[in-house]
Amino acid sequence: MKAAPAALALALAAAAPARANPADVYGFGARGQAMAGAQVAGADDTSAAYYNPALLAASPDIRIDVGYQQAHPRLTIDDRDTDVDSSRGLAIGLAVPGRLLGARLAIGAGLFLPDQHITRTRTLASGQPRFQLFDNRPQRLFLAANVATRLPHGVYLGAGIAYMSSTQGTVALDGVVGFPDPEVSQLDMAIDVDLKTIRYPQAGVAWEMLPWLTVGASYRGGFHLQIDQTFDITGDVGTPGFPPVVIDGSLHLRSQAQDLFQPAQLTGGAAARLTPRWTVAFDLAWHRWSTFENPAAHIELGLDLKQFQELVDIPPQEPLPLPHFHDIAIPRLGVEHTRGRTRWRAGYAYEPSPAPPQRGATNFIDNDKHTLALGAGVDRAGLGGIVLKPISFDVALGLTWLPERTHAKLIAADPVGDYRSAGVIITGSVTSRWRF
Amino acid sequence: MRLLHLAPLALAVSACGFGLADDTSGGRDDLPLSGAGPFKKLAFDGDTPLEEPWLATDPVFEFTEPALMPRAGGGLTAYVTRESAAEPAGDTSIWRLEQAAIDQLPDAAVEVLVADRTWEEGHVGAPAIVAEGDTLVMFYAGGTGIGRADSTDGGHTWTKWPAPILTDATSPGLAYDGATWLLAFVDGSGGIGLARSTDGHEFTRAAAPIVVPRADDVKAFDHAAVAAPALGWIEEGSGRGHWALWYAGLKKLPVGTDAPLYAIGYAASWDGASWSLLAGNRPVTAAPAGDPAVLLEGNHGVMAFAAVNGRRSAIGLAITP
Repeated sequence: MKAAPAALALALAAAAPARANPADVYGFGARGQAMAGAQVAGADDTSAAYYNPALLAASPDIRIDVGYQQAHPRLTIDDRDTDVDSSRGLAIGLAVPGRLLGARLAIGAGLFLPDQHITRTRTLASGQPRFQLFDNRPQRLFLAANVATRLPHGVYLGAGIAYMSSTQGTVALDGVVGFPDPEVSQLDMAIDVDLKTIRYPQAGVAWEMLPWLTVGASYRGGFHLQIDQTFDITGDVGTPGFPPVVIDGSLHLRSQAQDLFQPAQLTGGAAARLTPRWTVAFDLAWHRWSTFENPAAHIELGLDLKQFQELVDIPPQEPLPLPHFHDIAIPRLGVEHTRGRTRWRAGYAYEPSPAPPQRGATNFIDNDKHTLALGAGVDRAGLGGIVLKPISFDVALGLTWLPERTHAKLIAADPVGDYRSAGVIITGSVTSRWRF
Repeated sequence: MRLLHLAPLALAVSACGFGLADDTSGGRDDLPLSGAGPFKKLAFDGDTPLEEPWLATDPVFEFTEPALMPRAGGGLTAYVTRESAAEPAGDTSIWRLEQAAIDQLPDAAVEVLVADRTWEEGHVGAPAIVAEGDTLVMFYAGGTGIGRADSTDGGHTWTKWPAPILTDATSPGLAYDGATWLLAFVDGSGGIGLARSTDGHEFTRAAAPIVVPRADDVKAFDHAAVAAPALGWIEEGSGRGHWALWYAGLKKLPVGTDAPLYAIGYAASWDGASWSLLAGNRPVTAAPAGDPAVLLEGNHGVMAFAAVNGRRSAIGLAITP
């Protein structure tokens, strides 16, 4: 029994500040999507690697889930589609139970692998209108590794870490910068790029309080991706072979920005098997959006043109306006009806917007979100002598509606002006679940 | 120095799992647009017949002070002030030309308004045009006043009103929201003045100019002078609208025979009385560009401006992204 807590402690100790992911936006796995994400106490597959790692230890089976999920947003500004990218990719989960010192221990992993971009980052000016929660957030890899254990009295504990990488890069150029013809430049280049691993923690607990009732809670750490890029150019300016116009000039440009913000999340919920056929699950999640910072780039620009320096006037960058996001609470409700080998599912979630109406210099657009989901699952016999246990196939279809919101600007000379935002997002997923 | 040198960095970064989004990635299309642009001058493209950014240019005659209106069937119709070929030198008239697409050559310009009234003192120019129902209403500068002419055939022919609408004023900018007419002008006071009307011919001047040079900010693009106002009424996505003002700003007064180096600024007002400048002391179109005229359609905008091409003033085009 001491090994399991030690493993949990090790996992937590390895975790560092963390980030946001497509599972936050669209869910993970077909069953979870069909129940609108109300899974913190009700996840019965490897999607527990995302929803509540404690539940990975709930099954004695080795489980492998493989699925594919898509989300197609149609997000509009003034009734015009802004062509926000769809999100699609493989969703894969693994859970391997075992016993250690008499206790059931399980390790599990969850992976969402986008097939468009492994991870996309983009830094926009604060004033550039964009659907903040759907711009880059769904466009990234999600990878989490967890360990879970079953304790006496129906209690499960689980924890893990999710991985990401931050970027720090420098490009240094040294030599002669061609002037007036830049094509004759003679520059030596050095590139130094660090991709540092970022880890953020996630942990969960579940308790089979009654034979028909499970309660659970989970925590996911907050995260943002730091993008730090520097360009340094040093050398003479002129034509090679001739006396330089500027001797030993320099240009230093550093851009620091952040992207892929994920709020810290605390979720509590319950799953009740009201009858042998009906299961109801309810989650209430708290998302700490108040720590969201303006993701636009901080620019440092230094230029030394020697005798021509006074001809150059580079104004200092104005302070980035604060986004003033606030924390939100998200209720989720899911039901599952079992009839023989078939299961029917439905769910509803309401996610209020953490963003205030965009009345000033920023245009971090977001709306409230109502999600209605439906799904079904069926068990089929295993494959000969290889897969002895039934194989499950699940599908889910969801519709998220973003009711119209008006952003009325405070000043008439606003660079963007008033606008209305609205939209719908259609999600779909299929998952095959294999038990061994 | 070439971008090619940065390719290894991009390759290294992308190989490690990061894609850096390009301009074609989602979420950047059909974004809302106010009058603040920015408007970027058309870049030269050898594959188009237009000599970007120039819409109207001539080695002999000066083209200045454009006005833009939508063209039936797409594109734009421009009205410009052109120096007269006849004596005496300096007389001007107003010409009309149509451009079917932003990268196409305009049709041959046609003279539509000449100075034939005594008070016009030999020149008419600086057209500002709005539509009132099926009638196009042009305010124009002539002599030391501002006159009015109407067209009921889409701007091909114009009927002048007998007397100037406003005296001791020039360089009109005009906007109409269906109920109120606003007329911006320059009157030698150093700023841009404004007059208001409910019928389009009886105007009441505001007591103070609405935009003046930013004399206390030596780095401002409009530190030394403001001129050439153009007005517009813009209905926004929320359903309310605002008055928009584009104007030419001068950072430094020209020395000797140097041409003034104007840039184009922007101000706006909810009520036509209280005006705010675009934040940041930055122009919406970089110098050299003066005499703005703007046409906004949907989420895109076109600006015509005057700038020197060679030895003569010409009319160039700038567009929003």
